[in-house]
Amino acid sequence: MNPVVELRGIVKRFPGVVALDRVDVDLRPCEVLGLIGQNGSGKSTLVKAIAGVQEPDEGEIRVRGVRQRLASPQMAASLGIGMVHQEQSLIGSLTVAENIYLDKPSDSYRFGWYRWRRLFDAARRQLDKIELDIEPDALVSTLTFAQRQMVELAKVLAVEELVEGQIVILFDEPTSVLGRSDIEALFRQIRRIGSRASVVFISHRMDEVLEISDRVYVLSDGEKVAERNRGATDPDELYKLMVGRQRAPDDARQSRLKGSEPQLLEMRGIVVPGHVHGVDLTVGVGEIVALIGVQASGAEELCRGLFGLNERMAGEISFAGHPAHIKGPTAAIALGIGYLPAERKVEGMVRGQTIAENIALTFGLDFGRAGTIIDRGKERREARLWADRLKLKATGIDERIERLSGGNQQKVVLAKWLMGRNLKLLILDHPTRGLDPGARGDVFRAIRELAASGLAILFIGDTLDEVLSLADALHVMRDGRITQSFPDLAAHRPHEEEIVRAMV
Amino acid sequence: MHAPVEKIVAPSGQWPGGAAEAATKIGAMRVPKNLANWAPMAALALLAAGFSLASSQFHTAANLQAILEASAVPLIIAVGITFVILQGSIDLSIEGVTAIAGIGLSLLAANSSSSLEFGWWGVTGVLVGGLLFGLANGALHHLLRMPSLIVTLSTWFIGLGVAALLFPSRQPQVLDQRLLDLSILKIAGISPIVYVSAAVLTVGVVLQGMTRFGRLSYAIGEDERLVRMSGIAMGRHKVAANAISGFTAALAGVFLTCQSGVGNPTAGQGFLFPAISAAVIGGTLLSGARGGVLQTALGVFILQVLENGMVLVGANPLSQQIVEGATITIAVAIGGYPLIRKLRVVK
Amino acid sequence: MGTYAEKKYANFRVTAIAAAAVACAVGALATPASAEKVDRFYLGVGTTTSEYWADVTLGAKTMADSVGGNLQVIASDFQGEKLLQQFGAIFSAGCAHCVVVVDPASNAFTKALVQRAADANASIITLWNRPESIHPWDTAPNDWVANTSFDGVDSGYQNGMALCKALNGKGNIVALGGIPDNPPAKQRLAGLAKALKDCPGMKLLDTQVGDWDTTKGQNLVRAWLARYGADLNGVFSANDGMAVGAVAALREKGLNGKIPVTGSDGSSDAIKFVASGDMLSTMKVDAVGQGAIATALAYAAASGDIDVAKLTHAQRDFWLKQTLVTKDNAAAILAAKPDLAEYTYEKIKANFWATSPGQIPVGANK
Repeated sequence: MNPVVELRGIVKRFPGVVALDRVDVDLRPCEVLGLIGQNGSGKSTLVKAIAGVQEPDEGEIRVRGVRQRLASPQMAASLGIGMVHQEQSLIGSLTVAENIYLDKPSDSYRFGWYRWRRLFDAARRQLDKIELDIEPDALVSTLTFAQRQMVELAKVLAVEELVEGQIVILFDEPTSVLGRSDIEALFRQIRRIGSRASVVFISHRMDEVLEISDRVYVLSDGEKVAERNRGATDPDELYKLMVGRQRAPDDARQSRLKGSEPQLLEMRGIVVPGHVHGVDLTVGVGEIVALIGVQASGAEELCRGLFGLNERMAGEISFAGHPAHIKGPTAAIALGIGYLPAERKVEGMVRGQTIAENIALTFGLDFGRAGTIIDRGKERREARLWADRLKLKATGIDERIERLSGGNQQKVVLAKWLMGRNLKLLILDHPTRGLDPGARGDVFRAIRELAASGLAILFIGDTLDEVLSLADALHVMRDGRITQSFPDLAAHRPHEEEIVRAMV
Repeated sequence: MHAPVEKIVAPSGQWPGGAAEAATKIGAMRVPKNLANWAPMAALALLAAGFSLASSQFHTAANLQAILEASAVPLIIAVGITFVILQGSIDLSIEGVTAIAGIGLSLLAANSSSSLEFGWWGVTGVLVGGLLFGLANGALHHLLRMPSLIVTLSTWFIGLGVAALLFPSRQPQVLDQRLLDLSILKIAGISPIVYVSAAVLTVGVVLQGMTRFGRLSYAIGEDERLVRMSGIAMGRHKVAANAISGFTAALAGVFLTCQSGVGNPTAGQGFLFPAISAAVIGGTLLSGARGGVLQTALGVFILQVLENGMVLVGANPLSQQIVEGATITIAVAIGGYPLIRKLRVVK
Repeated sequence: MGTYAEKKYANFRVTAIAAAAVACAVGALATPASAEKVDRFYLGVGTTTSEYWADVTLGAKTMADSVGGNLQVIASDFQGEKLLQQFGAIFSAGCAHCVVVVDPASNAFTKALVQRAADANASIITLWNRPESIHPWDTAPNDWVANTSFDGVDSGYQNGMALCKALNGKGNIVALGGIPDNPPAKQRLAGLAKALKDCPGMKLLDTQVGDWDTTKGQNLVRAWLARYGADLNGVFSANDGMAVGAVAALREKGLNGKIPVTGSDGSSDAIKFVASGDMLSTMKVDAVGQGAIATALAYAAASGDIDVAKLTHAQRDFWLKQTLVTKDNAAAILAAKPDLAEYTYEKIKANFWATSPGQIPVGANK
C-alpha cells in the first residue's frame, strides 16, 4: 500500500540544537503510528512539520504521492491533514459549531450573514461522527477540558469534508491532562476513525502509545532509531533505544557521607492539586539532588511550590530543622531559598536592563547602607566577582542582558541568586535547557563548586547524562509521584535504561 | 468492524457553577446567566426601586420620557463603540467626530451663517464623513500596526481642531425646521431621536449575533493570534468596527445639533467617558470578548437613571461625580470578580 | 581776540559738544520705549470656538493693526497649565515691551502668570480671573498694567430682576450654575441671590451645576421638569451655553417661550432666542471693546505713552460695559455691527476708561 504521507531526510535546526536529523517517516493508510522518545527527541517537531505549523529546513514531504510544501496549517488542512494541539485552539466566546468551522471554508455564512440552521446542522454531523453529545450552539467557555478536547477532535475531523480519500490526524500529547476514563473514550474514537484516517500519536507514557498504536517509531536525539510493529515490542529494548547518546561518562562522584545528621530540607506528603500526588523528599546541606521526568511529571510544580509560587500546595515542610510555611517568594527568600525558573526570559531576567542591574535585582539592598540606601559601588563589585567566577562572556557588566547568549543570560540569573548571603538552598528548574555544550559545562562546574562550599541544590534535569554526572541523589517522577529513587548515585549508579523505564 | 461504542455524554455536575445552569438564547447567541451578566440588571432594578421610594416623581410617565430622551444620544455612541471594545481596542476619537458632525451639519443645512441648504443631504454628508473618519482610524491601526489608543487619541485632537477651523466666529443657528422638529415632534410622547436610538440598538444586536463580523469581533478580542492562524483576514473586521464607531459618533453630533438648534463645535464634549463607563458597567470589559451591545445599553441606562434620580432627590450636585465614580468601581469589581478568580492578567 | 580767548572758545566748544553728546546718549538711554518698536502682541484666550472670544480677538486685532503690530492668539482650552507653558516659552525667549492680554483660565494661575511677565518686562493685562488677595499695583507694579472684567453680580441681579418682572413678582425658579470655582459663576449666583432678596415672591427651588455646558443644562432642565412639573415657572442660567440647553429641553415639551429663561454672555444665538421669545434676557458683554481697550492700554504702557506708576487704582482694576438684552433691544443689537474705526489706538487713547462703569469693588472676587 502506498503511504499517505512520506517524509524523507527531514532536518530541522534551532539555535544551538538539531531537533530533527535526517528523519524518514512513512505513514500508511488506516494505521495508528505512535512516536515515543524522551523530551527533546524531536517527536513534537516532527508532527508540527507534518501539520504545517513549522516548516523543516531540509527534506521532502509527499502527500498521497505528490510532493507538497506544507507552509501553513491551512495548506495542510486543504490536503486533509489536521492536528489536535496540546494547547487548545478553541475560542471560548464562540459556539462549538463556529469553532469547528473557524478555519475552514463553509457555506454556513454568505455575504457575512450566518445561516445558523445550516451551521448547526453541519456541526451536528461532525459531532455525531465521534458521537459527542454536546449541543452545537453551546458556548465553548461552558465546556469542561475533556469536552473541549473532543470538540478539538471534531474540528480536526471536519477536514474530511474538504478532501477525498484518507485524512491524516495528528495528536500531540492529547492525554497529558485527561483522566483514565477520558483517555479510554479518546482511544475508542481513534479506533473508530481508523477506517478512514491515518493517525500519528504522541504520548509521554509509553504504555499508552503501545496500547493504541499499530506501529511505533522510537526517536532519540532527533533521529529515528527504531521501528517496531505491534506485538513485536519489548519495553526493555525500547528503553535502551531511547537513551541514545545520553550515556554519561563514568566519572564517579565522591560518595557523600550521609550520617544521621538532620537534613536541611525535608518534605513529606507534598500535594499540589492536579500535579503532585504525594511526594517525600529530602535534601542535605551541600547535597545536589536531581529530579527528572517527562511531560507532566510534576517536578516543576513541586519546585515552584517549594519557592512559594503555588498557594495550593499542601504537605509538611521542614527547613533547617524548623517547620516552614512558605507563603510566597518573599518568605522563601527570607529562609534562604532561591529559585531559577525554567522560563528565564519571562520570570528570571529583566530585559532592557544591564547585567549589573539584573544581578543586583534581588539582593542588592543587602549590600547597601542600613539595608535601605543602594550602594552601587558595592553592588557592582559583587556583580563583577560573580561574573568572573561564572566566566560570563560579555563586554562588561553594563552590557544589556538581552544581547547576551542564552547561556550567559542563565549565568546572570544564577549570579543574581548567588549574591544572597543567606542562601542555603538553590532550586534550579531545567538550568541548562537551551544552552550550548560549552555553557552547560560552565554551569555544571559552578553548581559543583557551590555544593562544595555548602550550598544545597535541588535541580530538575533535562537529560540523563546531566543528572548522572551532577547529582548525588536522583528521584524520577512520573505523573505526580516519585516512581524511583536513587539516593546515592556515587555508590549505586543505575543504568540509564532503569531511569528511562521509571520516567515513561 | 469495531465494537459498538458508547456515547460520550456530558457528565452531570460538570457544568461550571454547578448543576442546572440555564442558558438563554437570543438569536444565535447564548447568554449564559452568571454573575457578570445579571449584576447590572439587578443594579438597575435596585436603583429604580430606590429612587422610586425616595421621590414620588421618579416613576411618572413624564420622568420616564425624560430618562429616555436623555439616554438617546449616549446610547447611540455607546452602541457604536461597543464593537471596537469587543475586539479589544478602543476609540477615543468620538468626541472629535461628533464635533465635526455638529458644526458641519449646522453649516450644511439651512442656517444663519452660510448660504447652503442641503437639508437631509447635509445629514447624509455628515454621516458619510463620520464613517470615513472611522475607516481612517481602522486603516491606520491595522495597516500601520499602530495601537488603537494612540491612533484615536491623535485623531480625537485632529477632529476637534477641524471643528474649530470650521467655526465661523458666530455660532450658526440651524434654520431648517425639519431638523429642528426631530426634537420637537412627539410620537407617543417620545421624540424621533429616541426611536432612532432604539433602531441603532436593534441593528447592533443583529450585527453582533447574526453576522460573521459580529461573531469574529468576539474572537478577535479573545485571541487574535488564533484568529489569524485560522486564516481569517482580520483587517476588514477591525476597520468595520471603527467605521461603525465613527458613524454613530456622527449621528450623535447630528442629533445634538438638532436638539440645541445651533452649531456647537464642542458638541460632543464629555460624551466619551460616559460611553466607555457605560460599556464597562454593563459588562463589556475593556479587555475584549466580553459583554455586548445589550450589556452596554444596560450600562447607559444605569448611568442615566443615576443622574436623573440624583436631581430628583435633590442630591448635592458636587457629590454626583463621586457617586458616578463609585458606581463604576463597584460595577467593575463585581463584574470582574469571576475573571480574577481565573487568574487573568489584570492591567 | 587773543589766542587765549580762541582757546577758551575752542575748549568751550569741545566741552559743549562733549556735553551734548553725553546728554544725547543719556537721553537716549533714559528715553523709555517710545523709541522702541512695540510690535509683539499676544492674546491669551479660553478657546477659539466661542463667539465671545472671537469678538475679543476682533477687538484686539483691530487695535494691534492700527499701530502696525501683529497679534498672536494663544488658546488655553481653559487649562491654566497649558497657558503657563506656552507663555513661559514666550517669556523666556525674551519679551521686553511685549503687549500681553490674557485670561489666566482660573484664579490659581494669575499670580504665576503675571510674575513671569514681570520678569520678562512685558506689559500684561489680565481678564476675568484675579484672586481677591492680589492687585496690579501691589504685585507687579510696573508690568501688571491692569485687570478687567465684567460685573457678574450685576448680570445676575439684572437677569434675576427681569425674571421677577416676567413672573409678576411671584413664582418658582431654578438656577443653572457654572463651574463652581470660576469667579463669574460665583458672582452671577450672588447677583441672583440679591435679586431674590428684592423680589420676595420669587422662590429658588434648586440650584445645580451645569459646568457652562449646553447638554448638561438640557439634561438638568429635563429632570427638573419631571420633578417640579407645573410648579416650575422660570430658569436662571449663569451663561448662554446652558440657557440654550435649557431652551432645547423646554422645546421638547412645547414649553419654550412659556417658561422664561435668562442667560449671560450675549452670544448671537441667545440674542436670537431673546428676539424670538424663547429666552427672556441675557447680558451682553462688550467683548470687542474688552479686547481693544485692554490691548490699547497695555500697548500704551509698553510704548511709554502712559506711566503705569501714575495710574489710579480705579484705572488698573475696572469693570467694562455690559448691556442687558431684552425683547425691546434684541433686534437692534443683533443688527448692529461693531464699528471697527472706534477701536483704533488713536480713538481709544483719548480716554481708555470712557466706557467703564467703575472700579472692581473689594470682595468681588472672593
